[in-house]
Amino acid sequence: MAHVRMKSILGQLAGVVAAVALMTNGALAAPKNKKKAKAKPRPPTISVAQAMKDLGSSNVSKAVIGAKRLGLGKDAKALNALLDRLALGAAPRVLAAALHAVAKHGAPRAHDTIAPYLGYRDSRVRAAAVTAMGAIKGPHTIKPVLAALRDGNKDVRAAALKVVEKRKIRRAVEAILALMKKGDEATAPAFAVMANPNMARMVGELIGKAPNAIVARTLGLILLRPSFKPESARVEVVKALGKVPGTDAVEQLSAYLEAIPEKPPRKSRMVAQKYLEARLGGGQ
Amino acid sequence: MLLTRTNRSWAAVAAALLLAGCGGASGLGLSSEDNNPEVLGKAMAMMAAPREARPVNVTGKPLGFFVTRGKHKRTLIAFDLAGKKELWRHEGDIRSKVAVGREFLVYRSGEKQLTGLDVTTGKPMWQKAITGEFLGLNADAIKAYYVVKQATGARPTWALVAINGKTGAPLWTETAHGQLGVPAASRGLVFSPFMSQWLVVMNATTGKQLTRIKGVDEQISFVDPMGGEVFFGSKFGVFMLDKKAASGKRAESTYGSAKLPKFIRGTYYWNAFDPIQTRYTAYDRNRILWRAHAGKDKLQFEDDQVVVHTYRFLFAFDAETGALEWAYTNPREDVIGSVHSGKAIGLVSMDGAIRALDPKTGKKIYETKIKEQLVGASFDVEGWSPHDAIAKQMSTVQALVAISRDRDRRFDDVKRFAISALANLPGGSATKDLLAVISDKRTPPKIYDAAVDAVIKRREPAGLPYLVKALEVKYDFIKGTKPVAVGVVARAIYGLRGKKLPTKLAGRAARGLLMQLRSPQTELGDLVGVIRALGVVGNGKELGPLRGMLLAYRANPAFSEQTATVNATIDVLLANGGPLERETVAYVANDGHTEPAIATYAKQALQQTALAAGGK
Repeated sequence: MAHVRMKSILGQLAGVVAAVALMTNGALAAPKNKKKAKAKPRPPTISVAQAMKDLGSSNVSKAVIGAKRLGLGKDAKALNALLDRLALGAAPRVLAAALHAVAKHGAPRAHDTIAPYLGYRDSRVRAAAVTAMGAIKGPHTIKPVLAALRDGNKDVRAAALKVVEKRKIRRAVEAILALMKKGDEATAPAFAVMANPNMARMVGELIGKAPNAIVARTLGLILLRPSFKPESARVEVVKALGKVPGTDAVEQLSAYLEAIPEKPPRKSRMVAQKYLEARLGGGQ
Repeated sequence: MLLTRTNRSWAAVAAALLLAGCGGASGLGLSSEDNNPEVLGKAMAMMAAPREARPVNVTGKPLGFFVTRGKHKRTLIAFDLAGKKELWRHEGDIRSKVAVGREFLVYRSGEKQLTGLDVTTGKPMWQKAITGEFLGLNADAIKAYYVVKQATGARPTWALVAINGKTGAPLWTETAHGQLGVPAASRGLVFSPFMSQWLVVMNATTGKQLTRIKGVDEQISFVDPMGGEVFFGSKFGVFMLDKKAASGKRAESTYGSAKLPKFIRGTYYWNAFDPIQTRYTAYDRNRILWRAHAGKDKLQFEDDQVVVHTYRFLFAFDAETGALEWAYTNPREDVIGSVHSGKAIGLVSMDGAIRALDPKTGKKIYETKIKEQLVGASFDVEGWSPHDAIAKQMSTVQALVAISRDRDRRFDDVKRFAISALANLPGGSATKDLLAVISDKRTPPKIYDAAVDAVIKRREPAGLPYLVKALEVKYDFIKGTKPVAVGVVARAIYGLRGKKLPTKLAGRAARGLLMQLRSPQTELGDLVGVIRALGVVGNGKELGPLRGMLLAYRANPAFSEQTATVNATIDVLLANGGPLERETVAYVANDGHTEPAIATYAKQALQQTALAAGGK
């Protein structure tokens, strides 16, 4: 009912709709690709109509549940409802849930509705907006994600790093290294997933400049990545890991030894073993 | 007999003081004829002709006498200011300011002694014991005068003693049962402040009282012979000694008082009744420097100006209006001694730097240095007029900025004054300087508030480029950059409403404001100013973002608790927008998701603007 009411208001307020075009950009328009939507029907367990009704509720908890449900399928109506809600505003919890749900759709037409929320004052909403923006494929969504790496809120930066990790955005390398120095834990997986030998060396250079735990974890994750080659690069990473002070490096070396079988013999594993023994034996 | 005169040996003086203390002879009494213009006229007729404007000392050179730091033994350095060279040094237990005569100078040495030095060589000429509590000394060309308090009897007694400046031999003593202040002597007369109420005029040769002036509506706490005239008064103002002074009233005398800002602690001269001020103290760092002559019907400060010295800073004010004429800040160290020679303002700072400023412009016209840490300075520089060409000068704006950003926490009131002075200066650079003060994290809260107030009140379009520049700084967690004082800058821009602003610059201001509007790092409290400023310079570009903002935040409880931001948004939308904006506000007012407080304000605003539109 709420959705119907909202639609009705929107119908009357053509001007208002135009006013919020900045946010909606077609959010209220009918989906163009109806055939595609029909071709892939969503599971029948989700009642889109009910979820839309819940989303329009003044009860925040109910609206959040509605938003979440609308993110479970790829129904265009569901996406429309979410974009409508975002365009006309809601409580921050509802906005965040709606943005997460929109992220699951990954629809390019959501771009303009999401964009204003990248600067929303509630960090939960901002983080969700980054996730939603990052879910839209295409180069035009990279810039806002990179901008979010510079956000003052750690959760927002973490959300951006998650997108970087998922999409392996190489343009983010410099920013990630800077954030490593500042102690953002989420940098480790984001960096490791796309690191090449040269990038791994860059992490090694952060020993003493960035928190040991983050440097060790990044190097450890790089080592565990099967695609990280060649073996000589792995040896260098192990050596760098061996130089990281503290127990975090020990944990990462142990994890590497556990993950890699003894045979066929791998030089990096042997070097790791040596370092580990030296560490555990009271050496360096 | 109102005055007791003695002309005997030092021992006899002590005996007389003892007698006086026992209630014997009375000196300066409470009952005497006051304020007799005829008698005052006769007394003034006895005055010798004014000397030409030159130093008293026999060398005729402008001399500075500087006292170095030291607990017991201090060094007195005589310095030829014209020749920029040291003349002599004298070591002693210097416990008072020095008083300079033609061939001698005198100071209090140790607890109970006076020492006389040859002014040309610095060699001691005599030493004299003093009886009683020392209250101050002074000198004319040939004599020295000092005041002591005896408290041996039932009632304390004060004595003014005249001695020969070259020999220290006592010449005469006058006693009183009321407090005597440090006297001054000029042109054959001695002027003795008495009980903060009278100025007793005496014959310098005999000590005989000639007349006295009673301050009717103002205390008399100092007397200062200067430039051939004699001035007296209190911290409130200055009387000139002329026939009109016999009235004892400000209105009927040649009286003047400069209009000065409240922070000024300095006085027109040292308090003659405060023994502390006979020494080199912080009082020497808070002074009003001035010269004056008789105007049409009141005292006229020279060039209508007084110069205030407060620690490291000097400010020249229009004595009539209180308007700042120039400001000077001394590098690093306090100015421990200052003087107005009539042609120059002489300054000596703690680190031994000696400078002079042009009283008209505040520009440096003299500079030299002695390698000593100084605690005090006295001068004999009447008429001194240096004119060094000094390239490195500081403008008044630069001086005010330097003052306002000074780290020394003693000067908060001075800094606040400097900031308010900056606020009144025309041109854009003062805005820039004020923003720098605001941006500095070390700026104390009170100074910050003053700077904020000043930058907002300036309403100076020439400052807009600096305001825009401040807005263009983007928050960046990685780079560590963030805009500062966004709210202040926005309020300053809002203050420019109604003023003609360059279109391009206004556009840049709008873009900067929009950037800050969209930045989550902008403080909620600052947003109000940003929105209002956008209403001034947005030129319609603000409407779309503000509509979006209103819709996005209307259901946010945080904005419901601090409604000013949303209220400002609604106000700007309704004031600057058209039907589209009205519809948006109407939607916000009536939709159930809108926070009640916001909805209520939206409804009220719609009603009010509808009424206003109807009224039109």
